[in-house]
Amino acid sequence: MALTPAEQREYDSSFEGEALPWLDDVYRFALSLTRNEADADDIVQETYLRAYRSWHTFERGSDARRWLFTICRNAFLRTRERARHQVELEDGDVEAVASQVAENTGSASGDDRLLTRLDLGPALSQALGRLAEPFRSAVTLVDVEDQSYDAAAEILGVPIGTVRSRLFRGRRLLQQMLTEYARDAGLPTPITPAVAPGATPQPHR
Amino acid sequence: MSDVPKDPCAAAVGAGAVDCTIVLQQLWEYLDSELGADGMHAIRTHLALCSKCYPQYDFEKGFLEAIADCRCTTCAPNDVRCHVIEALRRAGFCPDERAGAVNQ
Repeated sequence: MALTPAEQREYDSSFEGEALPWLDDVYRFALSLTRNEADADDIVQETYLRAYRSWHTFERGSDARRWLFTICRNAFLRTRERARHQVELEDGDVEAVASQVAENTGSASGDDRLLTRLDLGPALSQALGRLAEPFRSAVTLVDVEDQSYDAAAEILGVPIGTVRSRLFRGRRLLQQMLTEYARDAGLPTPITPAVAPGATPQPHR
Repeated sequence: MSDVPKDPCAAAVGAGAVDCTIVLQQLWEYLDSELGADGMHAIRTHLALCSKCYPQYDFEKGFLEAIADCRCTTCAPNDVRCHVIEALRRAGFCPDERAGAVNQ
């Protein structure tokens, strides 16, 4: 059913007021998914086009940013499907990858004192860009975009426990990358604490 | 917190309280405000008394704040903004030029 001119103006105005202000946020999320600026540009356009066409289905008063993130992720997955690239790992694979990373880097529990010596900003941005999926999208949504675990679960289409697991592993991987960065910068080896946040406790030997 | 106990856990573990291992395991959920009211209270109480856990808390808090700062350093380039508006216009969108939201 076609809108009257007045309805169309109201439709556009509300979209402009509620959806467009989140363009930076959607771009950051798209960039975290694609790790490529040109691809992120395409995904953001696709996201906003889909959002505009579906704006009548958006529930006024609900969280427009969360809604846009969900559309963005779906647009990204559709793009990947079209390109016949399977980037989403099954949870079992995720566990295997994370275990392998932890094995390769030794204890995942620390290097904290070393990290406090770093100017984290540039190194962290770089490390976040290198963080593998699906950890990167969990860290981006919760830590950068300040989404709750529940919201991130809805956006990513996974159970909340999976978000928690990916988030904690992602944070640990980031800390490991920063530790490597610090070592390359010639900072001394740190003392490792006994228990890491989110870690399963290890029995004393 | 003027009197730091010799055994850092001793003062922090009381009736209904949590020990250091639990606190460290749940530190990120605490920092994310994702624990229930009782869990938040138990860990907050422990951290106020435990000289062993507090530095870890302080470090993790700084780490998460540093990640959050990435938000301020990455914005959509103007090209992306223009491409979005052009695509929307082609789909029939007429922005309110007076509002200026599309040009931010």
